[in-house]
Amino acid sequence: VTTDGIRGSSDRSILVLTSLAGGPKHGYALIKDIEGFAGVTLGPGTLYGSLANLEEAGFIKALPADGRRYPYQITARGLTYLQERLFESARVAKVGLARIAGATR
Amino acid sequence: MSRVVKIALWTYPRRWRDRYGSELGDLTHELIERGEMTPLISAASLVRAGALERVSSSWRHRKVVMLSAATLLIGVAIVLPIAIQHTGQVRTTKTVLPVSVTLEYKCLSPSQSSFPPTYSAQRIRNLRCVRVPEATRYKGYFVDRLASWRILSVTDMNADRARIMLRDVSESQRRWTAELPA
Repeated sequence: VTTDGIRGSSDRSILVLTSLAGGPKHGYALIKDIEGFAGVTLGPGTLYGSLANLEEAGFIKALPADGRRYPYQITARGLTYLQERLFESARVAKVGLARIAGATR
Repeated sequence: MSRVVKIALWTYPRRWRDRYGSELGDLTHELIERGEMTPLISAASLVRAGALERVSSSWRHRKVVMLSAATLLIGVAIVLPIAIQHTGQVRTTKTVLPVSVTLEYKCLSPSQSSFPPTYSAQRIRNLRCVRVPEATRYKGYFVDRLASWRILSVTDMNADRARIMLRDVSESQRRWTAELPA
C-alpha cells in the first residue's frame, strides 16, 4: 500500500490515524473514539480494512495483544503523514470557507 | 466467534485472513455481545468488506505485476541499444585498439636505407597484427580486420627504431603513434 493507496481511502484512514494520535487503542476503542469526535460509526470490516492498509504503509504498528484485544499505535511516519494531510485539509477548508463567505455576501 | 461471522470471514483473501481474521472476529464478537450489532448485520458488513479487500488485493497484485513488467521493458529499452552499439564498436574498433602489432615494411628511399628490409615489432597495448602489404604503399591505407588505418609518417630515429604515425580513417580519426623497436 502506497501513500496514494492510503489517499484513495483517505477519510477512514485519517479518522483512524487521528484517533491513534491520541494514544494506542484496540478496535472497539477506536470505533467508539471515532464515533465520539467525528460522529462516524465504522463497521468492524471497514475499520480493519483501514488498519491493514495503514499497517502495510508503516503508518501504524500492532502492539502485543491484551487478552482478546489487539491495540495499535501510530508510528512517527504515520504522525508526519497525518500532520501533512491535516494541514492540507486546513488550507482547503480555509479557502473554501472564505469563498463561501464571499458568495453569501 | 459466531458461526456466521466465521463464514463471513472466508470472503477475505487468505493472507489477509491469516493476519487479521482472529482480531476482526473478536472485535465483531465484542460488538455483538455489547448489543451494538446483530450477527446478521455484522456478517453482511464483513462480507462486503471482505469482497472489497479481495478486489483491491487482486488489483494491487495486478499493479505490482504491471509495474514490474513496465520496469523490465524500460530496462531492456535502455540496455539493448547500448549493447548493440557496444557490439558494433567491437566490430568497427571504435574504442578497441589492436592488441599487438607486427609491422612489416621495406624502405625504398635512400634516406631510410639504414632500416632493415623487414621491420617487426610487438606493441604492448591493444594492437592486433597488421601488415603493410607493400613497402611502396607505406603512405597509403592498410586495413586490418578491425579498422582502416593510414600511415601518416614514418620517421627513422636510428637503425633500430622508427616512429610510425597512424590514423584511424574508418571511425574517429584517432591518431596513434608507435615507436617500434627492432
